[in-house]
Amino acid sequence: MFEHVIIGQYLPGRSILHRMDARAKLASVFFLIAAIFLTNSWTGYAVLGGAAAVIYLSSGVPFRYIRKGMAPIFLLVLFTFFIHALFTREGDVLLSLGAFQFYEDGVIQGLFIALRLLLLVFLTSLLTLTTSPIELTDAMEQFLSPLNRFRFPAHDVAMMMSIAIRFIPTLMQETEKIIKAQTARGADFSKGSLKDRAQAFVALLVPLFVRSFKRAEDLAYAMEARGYNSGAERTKLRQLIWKTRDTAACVLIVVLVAALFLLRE
Amino acid sequence: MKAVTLQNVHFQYEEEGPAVLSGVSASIQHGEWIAVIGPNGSGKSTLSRLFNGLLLPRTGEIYINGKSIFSDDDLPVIRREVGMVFQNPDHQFVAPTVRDDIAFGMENAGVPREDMLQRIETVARQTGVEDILDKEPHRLSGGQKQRVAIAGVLALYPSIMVLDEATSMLDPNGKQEVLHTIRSLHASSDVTILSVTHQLHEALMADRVWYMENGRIIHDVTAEELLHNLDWLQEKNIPLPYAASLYQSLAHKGISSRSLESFLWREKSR
Repeated sequence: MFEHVIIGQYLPGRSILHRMDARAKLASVFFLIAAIFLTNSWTGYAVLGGAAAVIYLSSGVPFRYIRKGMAPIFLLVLFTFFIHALFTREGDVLLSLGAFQFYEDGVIQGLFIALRLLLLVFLTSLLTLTTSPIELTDAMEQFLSPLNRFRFPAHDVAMMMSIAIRFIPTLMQETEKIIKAQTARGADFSKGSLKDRAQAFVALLVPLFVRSFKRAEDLAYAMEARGYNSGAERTKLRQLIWKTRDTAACVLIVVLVAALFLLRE
Repeated sequence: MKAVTLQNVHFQYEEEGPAVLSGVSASIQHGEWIAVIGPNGSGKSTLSRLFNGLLLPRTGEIYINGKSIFSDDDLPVIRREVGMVFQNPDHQFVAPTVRDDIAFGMENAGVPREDMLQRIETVARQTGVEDILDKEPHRLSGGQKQRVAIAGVLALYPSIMVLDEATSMLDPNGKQEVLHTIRSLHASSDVTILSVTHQLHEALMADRVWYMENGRIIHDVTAEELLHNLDWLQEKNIPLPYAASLYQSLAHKGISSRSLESFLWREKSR
């Protein structure tokens, strides 16, 4: 059931976007998201759309992966569009359907919000499709490390995240094993009323939790035995290498965001 | 100086709880391989966890390479000198890939990156995991994971390696892989090994065997001496490996190993 699990949705590859430093990508996405929410003109969204298209083309990711990433929010996009279209009652009436009236400003507002959501998911999907979770964790750790001065344990947080990522497939394998074991004992996870099924899941969750606590204890022992000390200075095997092209990409993004800021109405 | 010295070690998990270790005294020479056997609850695993201060004895003393495990200053050094491999292959794999996991201990010890890369190459060859360095843990077999754990320990150049039932959760192939790695390590380096096991045939690979019961080491014998006490082992309900059981049956029929050996030589030359 879970043999071909891919963590997150990382799609290994050799494109320019794949080879960029994770910090550059993370910072760029951060700036672009800010720009998405600041933009309030059609020209602005045209420029953003163009930029997103260029970024997409440099990623080498087949479109169906993006579509898969965006599918779950499609309903949300429709919903927010209609909410805005129906409840912003300004400008001229464009269309009147019985009790519902669509005003011009409402429709424009709704379209903007929908575009924002779509662009947001589009860009973050591209980030997670071209960056492995571990690189992302490393990048976040470096961005958070200035907070060490305020006693924020950036390294421990990154370690927690990477352990969580590492154990996702293990937990899935275990879930599968427990499902089989409980099915052999007569549990049925797929039939019956909602209540029956919820009860069947108790038989799955209890052993899963018990085993997880046991595992956490063992893991803590193993980490301690190997000299892990949360406060101590450590060296790192993994390196993020910042190249000229990362600087170039970041400068481009900053220029783009500045231009978008000037295009605001 | 001995690699390990245990002096009248007592241990219990809770203040009022039952004694898990009651008066263990023993010592281990450098480069020796000790196997610890005994029934469940005899204190084998607990004993192994005292070796690098994961647990501290209630009373008694433990010296690792002459350093007391009660010394706060020496404990980090002891943690580096005593490498531990645990039972469950999945519960000790910390990092996302084999390479990162081997590096984990070195990162904690502050080994420079250049050294790390070089040491990873070396220990990966030693343990035969050089072809899977970029794999993720869920794509590895149990035996591979345990060899990665051994590699991670070796990368810190330990003088003592403690294996707490490291093969007990593996399939026969995995067991073979790991035992092969340990044996070649014992043959090619002077690492002191302490392996806790339920398998007599694994224990017989060691130089010396400790038999534990009720928190004490009852027998401290060489592997060879153990072979001469097979009846006693059977009384303790320890299943004998096939070869040992054959050896015992022959002995009961009055055929000693010596007479069997000379018989076989005679047959061969005929």
